[in-house]
Amino acid sequence: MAEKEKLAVELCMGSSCFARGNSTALGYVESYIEENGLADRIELGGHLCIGECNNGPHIRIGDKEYSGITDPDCVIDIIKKALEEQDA
Amino acid sequence: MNNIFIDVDYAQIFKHGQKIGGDVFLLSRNPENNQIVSTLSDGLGSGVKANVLASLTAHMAHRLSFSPIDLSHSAKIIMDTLPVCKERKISYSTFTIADIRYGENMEHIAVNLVEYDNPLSLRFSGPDPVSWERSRTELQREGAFKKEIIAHSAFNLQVGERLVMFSDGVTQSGLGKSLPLGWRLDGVRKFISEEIRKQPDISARDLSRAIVQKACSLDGLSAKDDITCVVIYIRRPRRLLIVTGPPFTKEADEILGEKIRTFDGKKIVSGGTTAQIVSRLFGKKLTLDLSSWSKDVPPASKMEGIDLVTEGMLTLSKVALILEKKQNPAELPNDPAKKFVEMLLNSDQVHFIVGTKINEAHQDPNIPVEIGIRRTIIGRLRKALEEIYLKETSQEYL
Repeated sequence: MAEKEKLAVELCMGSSCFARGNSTALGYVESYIEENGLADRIELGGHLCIGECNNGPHIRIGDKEYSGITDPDCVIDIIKKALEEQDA
Repeated sequence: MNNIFIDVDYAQIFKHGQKIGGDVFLLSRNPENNQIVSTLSDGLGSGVKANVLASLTAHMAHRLSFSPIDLSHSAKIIMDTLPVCKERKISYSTFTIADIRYGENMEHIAVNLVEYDNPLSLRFSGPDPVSWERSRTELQREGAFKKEIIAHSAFNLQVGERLVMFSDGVTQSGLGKSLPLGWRLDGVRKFISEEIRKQPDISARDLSRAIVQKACSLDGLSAKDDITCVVIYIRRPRRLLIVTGPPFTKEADEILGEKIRTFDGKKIVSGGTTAQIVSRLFGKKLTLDLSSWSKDVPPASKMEGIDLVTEGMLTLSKVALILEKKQNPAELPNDPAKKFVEMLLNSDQVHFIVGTKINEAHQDPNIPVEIGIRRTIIGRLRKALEEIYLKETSQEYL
């Protein structure tokens, strides 16, 4: 079986997005990866302000962009779904 | 800003079992007068009695040094005021006063040194000991066992020179234990020379610590007397540049780049957008480093040519809070704010370039108050750096 491409998860680490919820989300995603041993499936990264402050917190999962998700559990759900789609 | 910095610091270990010292060190900087006075006094005995006597002496010496009276005369006044111990017929306390005056741009650093009964001070140019002439004045006080000698000297200190003053707890350390006659002046001189040779730019703080720790270890780690050491070190200032906030106009970006490029010292860029501007100007890649962050401090980034790249307002707020609360950086969580504080404390002069462009998203009342007004936070930082940590600061807007 060919190796699957890693799912890119990128959180905006700009002041506004960090304060609006990405600080919590980052902690959630880090422990989600660790607890489920997903380090080889997910490429976690961050980026600086890209001007989406007013709609923040801004997150990119795979090739989709998400704005305004303040509940970190939702972020995990989206990641789970994206992984399932990859598996399918 | 000045091109010379007078680094003064001291270290002290109290006699084993004492909660208060009989050695008292006082330091005042009086920038209006271009004057720094450092006074070290050792009271007879140890504990509370010695502390009261030494404090009395040190404060007198200190006050008089800031008066127009010449230092030798001040010393006589102090001697005449100090009581003589009834049983031992010797003075209650000793003192060393270094009155340092400098010119407008810190050139011509002139020291007036008055020493009474403390071990003689030492001078070093780089690692090499320097000897100099002292004039001696004899005083015979009523009821005193012997004539007392006040040594007075005046000399200039150049960049790279150090003046080291200490109490007899240093020279007598190890007495009767590891060393029959204690560490003695020669031993201390040799030790300091070696320390400077090992680390030529050792700070006043680190050198004074090394000396008292060595003395304490000679005493078998249980100090037999109060051990105090003061180091005055004339050196080039360590400079730090902090760039925060995008310039108000796009045209000013180039000016910002030029200022960063030509700055001689360490550099911090604080602010994501600012960092992206600098990255574009310098054509250097900017990468986010997720390895260290905390709940209130976003991760730092890395860029060639800049020593530290952090997020802006949240990090700066945290740094201001740490400085105001005088928290020890060694005890802080490992996030960019810690690195930031360490760099500030390791500098003498801090220059801020503050961009005045406003991020509309920061006007949202739903985000934390820490994302306040940049200028207010810089004001807090400068106040803490100047008042608590005695750093020189300056600032410009772009």
